[in-house]
Amino acid sequence: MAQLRSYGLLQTLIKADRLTPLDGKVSGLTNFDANALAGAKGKADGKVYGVPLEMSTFQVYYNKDIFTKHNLQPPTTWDQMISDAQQLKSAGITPFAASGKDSWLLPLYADTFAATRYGGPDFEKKVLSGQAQFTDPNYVASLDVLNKLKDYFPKDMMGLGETDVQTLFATGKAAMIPEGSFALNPMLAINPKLNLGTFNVPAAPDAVTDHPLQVGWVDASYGLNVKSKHQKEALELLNWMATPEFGQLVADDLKQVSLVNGVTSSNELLKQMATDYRASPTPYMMLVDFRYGTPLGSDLAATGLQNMLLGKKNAQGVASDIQKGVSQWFKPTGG
Amino acid sequence: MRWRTVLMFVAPAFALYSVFIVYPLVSAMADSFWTWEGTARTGFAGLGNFRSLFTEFPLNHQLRAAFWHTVLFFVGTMIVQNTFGLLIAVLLHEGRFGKRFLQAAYALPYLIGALVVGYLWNLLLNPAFGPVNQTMSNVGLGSLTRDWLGDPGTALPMVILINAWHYIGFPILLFGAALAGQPPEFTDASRVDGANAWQRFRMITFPLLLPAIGLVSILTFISCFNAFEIVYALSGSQGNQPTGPGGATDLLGLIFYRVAFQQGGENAIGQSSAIAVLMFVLIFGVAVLANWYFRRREALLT
Repeated sequence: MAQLRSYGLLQTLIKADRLTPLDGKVSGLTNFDANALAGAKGKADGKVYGVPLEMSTFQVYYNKDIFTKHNLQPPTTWDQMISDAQQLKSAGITPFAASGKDSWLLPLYADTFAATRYGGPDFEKKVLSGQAQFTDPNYVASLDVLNKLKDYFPKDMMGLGETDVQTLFATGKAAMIPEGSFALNPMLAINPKLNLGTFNVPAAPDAVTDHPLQVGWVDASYGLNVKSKHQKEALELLNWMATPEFGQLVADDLKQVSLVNGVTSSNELLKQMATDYRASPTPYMMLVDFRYGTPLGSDLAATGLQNMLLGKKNAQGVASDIQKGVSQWFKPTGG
Repeated sequence: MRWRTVLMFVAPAFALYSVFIVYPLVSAMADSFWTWEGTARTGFAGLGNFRSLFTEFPLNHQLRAAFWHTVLFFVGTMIVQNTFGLLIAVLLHEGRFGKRFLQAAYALPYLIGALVVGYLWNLLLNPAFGPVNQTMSNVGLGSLTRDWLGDPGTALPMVILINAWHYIGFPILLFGAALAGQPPEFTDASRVDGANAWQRFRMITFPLLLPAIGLVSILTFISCFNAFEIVYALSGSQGNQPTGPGGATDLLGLIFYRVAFQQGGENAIGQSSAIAVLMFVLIFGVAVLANWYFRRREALLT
């Protein structure tokens, strides 16, 4: 058995016939939503090749103690978020601990702060069917949202990596951090006394979607080597990995968001993330849909956004680079 | 009988060389002419992989930028090594005090792996927690502090300085050996003729050092064009994104690594082999030419 990458990056293994298709062999696959299995499917044949272990969500964490001290509440409107950030900045606290050095985070920041601006999953459908392109004014404007937040990011963000900004946040030098569900444990490891809350960013100005969206995607899944001599035993194990019993262990012991239906995490924050994702999900679009060919959409977006935050490119230029790069291999379904 | 003896002596080295050098080289070259899907070879590509390096966006832009960064990286490193390296070697040769200790001290970083050196400097230069900026602020130079590795203007110069710092012990050793190998009669004779220290260096010592300078330059060229670890440790590498702020420290070696291992492209083996072959041809060609040039200069001396 092997831990598999998800979506586009899984396809090479499937095309080379290295994995056993699991449809009909792992009955527990019915415990997952279609969304949850999408990350472990073959693009060409639509078969499922992996049992998803967990999913990742991305949102803003805030330090409750700092918020209380400055008399702040988690924002319910964009304007409130900006005025909170302004107030924190005046008090000498970095509002958002954002990293520019680990540039893979930048497309996630863009979706976290501004998926509402381009309309989340509705825009995703339009792009996939060919009704819209990344040069769409709404998408360009959503990229530009990060530019407007730049003042509230650390001054030296391009020299700060993910662990650096986690440290800034966990040690109380920053009040908020856009981070993944997977970062909960590492941040608590830096400071176990950290009093954490999370929120999804309120709709950005002129947003297409008027309510906050929960960014999420399937990360790892487990598959079966087609050449394994122990297919039966491995399938039995995979079957167990698809049960609520196993899902509960993932949620409670690994502190990750399990995708098995019926599992609720005992951790309040993780529970919130899972609930929000079921209520109003939006995909980490560059990972979920644009890794089926090279150049990867996530790479194009990360490179472009870094240049944008350095002032070397504008949002329009970033968007047209993404479109230009992706259109070398991406064919919309609508023709 | 004699041939058999020759064969017996040559065979082990020849076998090792074939297995570990010739075979990988030839197989990488062969790989670059095929299309791949993961680890399965699917069809003959001819020059397709090579063409894709110059037509596929954004790889073509990245390669062009990385080529010029690598040239700057080499020129910068060479200038620092051949000036400071030579200066320190001459001072060590002339001086008496603490020579052994200083030689060892200068050579010390050379003994540490590039990944470790990169990681340490990364910590030292960290804009939030690093001691370099902190110390500068404490002594009143706060206005000069910068995000050294995060500012596109200073990132590559910093990488060059750190690389030169790391390897400076090597040219010092080479120049030191060359200086020690120079017969003292030449400088003694010029001293008798009334030449001052600068004249002695310029007219006697320096020309005799040319072979060593040539050697240092060629070896620096090869190591700079193959450089990977130091930049990887200083700037990281993610997906197929150019390394450093705005791609400021992206070098050819990093592009190879990304295309081969990080990007996850279907044809990663074919495309990365094509990059490797081009890099090999470039490095080999320039090294042979430079070697020929310095040999000729050497011949003119004698």
